[in-house]
Amino acid sequence: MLYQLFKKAGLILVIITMISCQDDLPFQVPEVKFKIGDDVTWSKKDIDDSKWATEKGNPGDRIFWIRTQVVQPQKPEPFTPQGVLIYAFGAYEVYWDGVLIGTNGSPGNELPHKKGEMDKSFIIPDSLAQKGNHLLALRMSQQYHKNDDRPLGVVITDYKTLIQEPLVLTSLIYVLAGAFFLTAIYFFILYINNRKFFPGLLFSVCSFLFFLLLIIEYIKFYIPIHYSDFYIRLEIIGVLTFLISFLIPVYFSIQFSFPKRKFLIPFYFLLLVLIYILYHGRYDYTTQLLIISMWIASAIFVSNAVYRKEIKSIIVLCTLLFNILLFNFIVYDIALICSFTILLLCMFYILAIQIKQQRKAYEYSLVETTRLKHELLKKKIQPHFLMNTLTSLIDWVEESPTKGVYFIEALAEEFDLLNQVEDKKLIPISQEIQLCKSFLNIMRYRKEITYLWNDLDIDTTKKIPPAVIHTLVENGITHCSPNTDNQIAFRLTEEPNSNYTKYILVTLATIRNKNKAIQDGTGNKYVKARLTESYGDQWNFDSHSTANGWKNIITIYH
Amino acid sequence: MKILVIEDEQRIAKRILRMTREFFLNALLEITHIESLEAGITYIQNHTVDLVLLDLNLNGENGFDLLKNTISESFHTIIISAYKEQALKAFEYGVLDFVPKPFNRERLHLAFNRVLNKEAIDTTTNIKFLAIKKRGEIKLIHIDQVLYIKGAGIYSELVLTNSDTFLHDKSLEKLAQLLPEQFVRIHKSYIIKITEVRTIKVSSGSKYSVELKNDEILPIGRTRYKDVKDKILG
Repeated sequence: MLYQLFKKAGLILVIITMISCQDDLPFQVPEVKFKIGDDVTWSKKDIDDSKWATEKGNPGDRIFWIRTQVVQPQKPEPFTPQGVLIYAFGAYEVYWDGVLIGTNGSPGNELPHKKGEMDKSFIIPDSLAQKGNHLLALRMSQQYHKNDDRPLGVVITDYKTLIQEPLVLTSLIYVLAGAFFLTAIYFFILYINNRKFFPGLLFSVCSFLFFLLLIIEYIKFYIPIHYSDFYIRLEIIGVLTFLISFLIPVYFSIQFSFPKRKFLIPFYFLLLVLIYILYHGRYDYTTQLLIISMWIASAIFVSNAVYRKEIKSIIVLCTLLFNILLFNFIVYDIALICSFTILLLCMFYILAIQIKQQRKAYEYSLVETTRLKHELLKKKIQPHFLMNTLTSLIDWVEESPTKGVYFIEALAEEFDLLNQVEDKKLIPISQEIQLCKSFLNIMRYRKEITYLWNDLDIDTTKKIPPAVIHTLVENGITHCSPNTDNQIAFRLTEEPNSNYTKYILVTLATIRNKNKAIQDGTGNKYVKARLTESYGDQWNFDSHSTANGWKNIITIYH
Repeated sequence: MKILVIEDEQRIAKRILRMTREFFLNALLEITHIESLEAGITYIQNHTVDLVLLDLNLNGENGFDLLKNTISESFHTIIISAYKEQALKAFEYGVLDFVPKPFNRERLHLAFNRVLNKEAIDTTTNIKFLAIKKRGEIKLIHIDQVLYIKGAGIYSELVLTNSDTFLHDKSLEKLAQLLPEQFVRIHKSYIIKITEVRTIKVSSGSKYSVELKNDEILPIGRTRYKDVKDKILG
């Protein structure tokens, strides 16, 4: 398991390195001049556009032109076609130094068929692809989202790079996405098989969301997106980022059992909603704010875990701090991918450790069950019980054979009952009461004390771990001496409630040694271990002296 | 004979009392039954006792606690317990006998015979420590450190290899019953460790003595000479 994790981690790190080594394309955002109207001569290189507007204005459905100076940064290699990649919001024809080199949709006639895409590459004719300044003119219309004004972006380099590079980047990112997709499936299956493994489900969901985020982020490089659909992708990215920003701190708070998380998480959710609504429409800015909130919330939860010395929390905190550093050194997109990858790897690591701990706990519980079974059997074969019983028995047989026979019968019943319950984790309370009664019967012959048993309002359909009350009866006999009338009385009552079942065992007798501090003897340890075995931490056990004896309270929560 | 029975099981206590009475008959001056360890210790502190019959598990209390506190007292102790594996430890603390439960009349009477010195004691699993009281504290002295023991009335005086001396509350007679084989009674007032003897000296007038490795010379009783000689030379 761990080996596979490391293999996967290794692969992902290689990909991250490759991505961050990718040269960014030389992106230009040139100054643009606008003019509403339509005149083909506006494509010419040397007309005077000094009086053109610097703002788009409000052309409505009409044609408008934009002109800008762009720079071909390098002298092209011979026989290497050059291209221009244009990010523009609308349908347009492209004029390069006055020559029409391509179209994207049909300007002025966009409705109802959506044609063209957000970013499109055009080949520049060889004769016009010299190093230096060029005039780029677009004959445009923007009949969808008419009032939106988005800047023009241009990349000029060789045509092959323009086409190939985004696809290479996408393919590498998608390898990464695949890893997260498989992770999501794997942990979801783990969760299906163990519904208590809630952090596993969260981890699965986070992985899946991140997989979707990667897919959607890079979908634009191979699926043409019309500019009217441009915002849909950004909205999806926004929602995905929102969910991830919410779930990752939640995951940490559960993973590290943050106190009062049920109180704090709704507040965090509200904060994210507030950011999301307040900055809606400023897509990149919103996602960045969400991510920053996520880092801060995660850091708070994890710092608290470090403070409480939770296992492995220090590693997570280091990872978070490293991620925050990443944002200072790498561009946002790549930093986001890198940080998420490192973060998810970190979560991988914690979950792997958790799985290991669960396995250990399970193995321990198996051993514990066997140990408790042995302890139960040992109660009746340990020398103190067995030899004292046999000595008394011999004496009864020698002195009063008839009573000796009754004693043997009582002993037989006790062993018979023990036989029935020894390998069970839970037994009906009626059987437990039988066990107590038969034990008291034996002790009556041994100690020659009158032991009284009384049970009230017991729902006999309920179950309880074997020999728990029996052990408390044993404790009562050990720690109490009889009252003046030579009797010790035990009274078992049940207090049912919708939330819990409470069993109260009262011993009415004189406590032998009131001053002696009450230690957690083997008896109480057995009771607690049995309760933990069957109810986890959903129980409470209290044992204390009272004015006229001893009181044990077992509370089992539903 | 004054006997104290410490046993928390009523039926077993009755059995012990009955069998003890049967054995000692008129020699039994007093027999007391106590259920708890604490009351037992208090009783011992305030009464003269010749023999204690002790259970090791008393309502969860450890009978060894009594043993540790009273081991140096002048009485003998017989353990009657279900925990056979504790026997070795009990002997190390200097108990006279260990009667495992369940027991019968014969086994208990055998133990009583040892008290009356009618029975030899199995010395293979025997005392390892002698407990002495010093300034109110109990100190355990390992038997290997003891050079010889000198009778001092109802007490005895332990002389150690490093020449330290300590008083022990048990008489020389009682200690002789407990000590392992290597300790030999050479005189009514002396028990020596055989391995510490260098030679036997015979002086005029049939006076016999042993010379120890540390040059000390101790007398040998006239009646015991043959026995001692056999043991030392044999």
